[in-house]
Amino acid sequence: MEPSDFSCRRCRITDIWELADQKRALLWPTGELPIDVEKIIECQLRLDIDWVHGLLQEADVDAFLKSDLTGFIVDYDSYMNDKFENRRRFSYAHELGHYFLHEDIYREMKFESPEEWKHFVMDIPDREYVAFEFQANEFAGRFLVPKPILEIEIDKAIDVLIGEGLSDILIKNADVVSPYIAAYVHKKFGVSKDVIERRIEREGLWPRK
Amino acid sequence: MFGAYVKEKRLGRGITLREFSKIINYDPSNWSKIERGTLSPPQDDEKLTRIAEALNIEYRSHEWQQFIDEAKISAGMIPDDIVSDEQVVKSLPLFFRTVRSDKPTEEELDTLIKILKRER
Repeated sequence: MEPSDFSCRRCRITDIWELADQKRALLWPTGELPIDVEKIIECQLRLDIDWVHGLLQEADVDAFLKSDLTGFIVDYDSYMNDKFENRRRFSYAHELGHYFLHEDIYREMKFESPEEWKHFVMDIPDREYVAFEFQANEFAGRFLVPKPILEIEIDKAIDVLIGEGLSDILIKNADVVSPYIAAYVHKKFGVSKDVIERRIEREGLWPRK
Repeated sequence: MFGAYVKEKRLGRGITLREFSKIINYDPSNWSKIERGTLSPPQDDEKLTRIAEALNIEYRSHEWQQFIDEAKISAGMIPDDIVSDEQVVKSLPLFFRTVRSDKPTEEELDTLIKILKRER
């Protein structure tokens, strides 16, 4: 395959969400939050996690799925640091997205040498690369933040807002409510506030229709 | 092989590498190398006993003796340090989780190859 032929199969966003829901139900049946993706990867899927030094600092990469699909390589320093727990969780879920959504691409790609691999990666069209990443991000967000639970948490956050006498904001400045909701609920899912804001926006959960 | 054996026991107990490394007080990067067979397992009895306990292997049992024997045998079977291009290629990614959400530069790709040769 030539890099110019390397294209991301377009699919409906709802298909990606449905796949994330199915995989979560299968791999994390207790539904306990936050989801321990590391446990799913190692103990359920039996994929390896190899910790290497210098990945982030020297190459600006903090995790990736190995091309032989046997596991993930992660940056030792950031992945050992609990400060990065939320990013770590999202990174794992993102890589799982590639694992489930783009497995056929990985299986098709065969490189003879690191040099051949490098030139191929350099020549992947940006628009295709972005499409692959977008799909993996959508998978990760939905996998870590189940929609029905997010809806309940949004209701709770709105109740708090009303309880604090801020009902006016809900009517006059609905667009500033999402960051408030995100700050209120993100810890439950073990993700960043940005991830929650994106889920709210992507799934059209606020403002209410 | 000692590495494959302990990894199977660990995963059978539902313990991640991070959790296990904490329990046995071992660097996870080194422990993952031991499980992959690229680093020699510890040889002193105190450390081996701690690992055996974490894996729920009964002290002085037949399995315990087998565990100790595997550790001693594996110590002499570590492959040389030279990592082949074929091994590196198997580990290289198609997509990268980067801080700036962009493809790495050519220089960063070269560095990534170097790191994998060094760390595998």
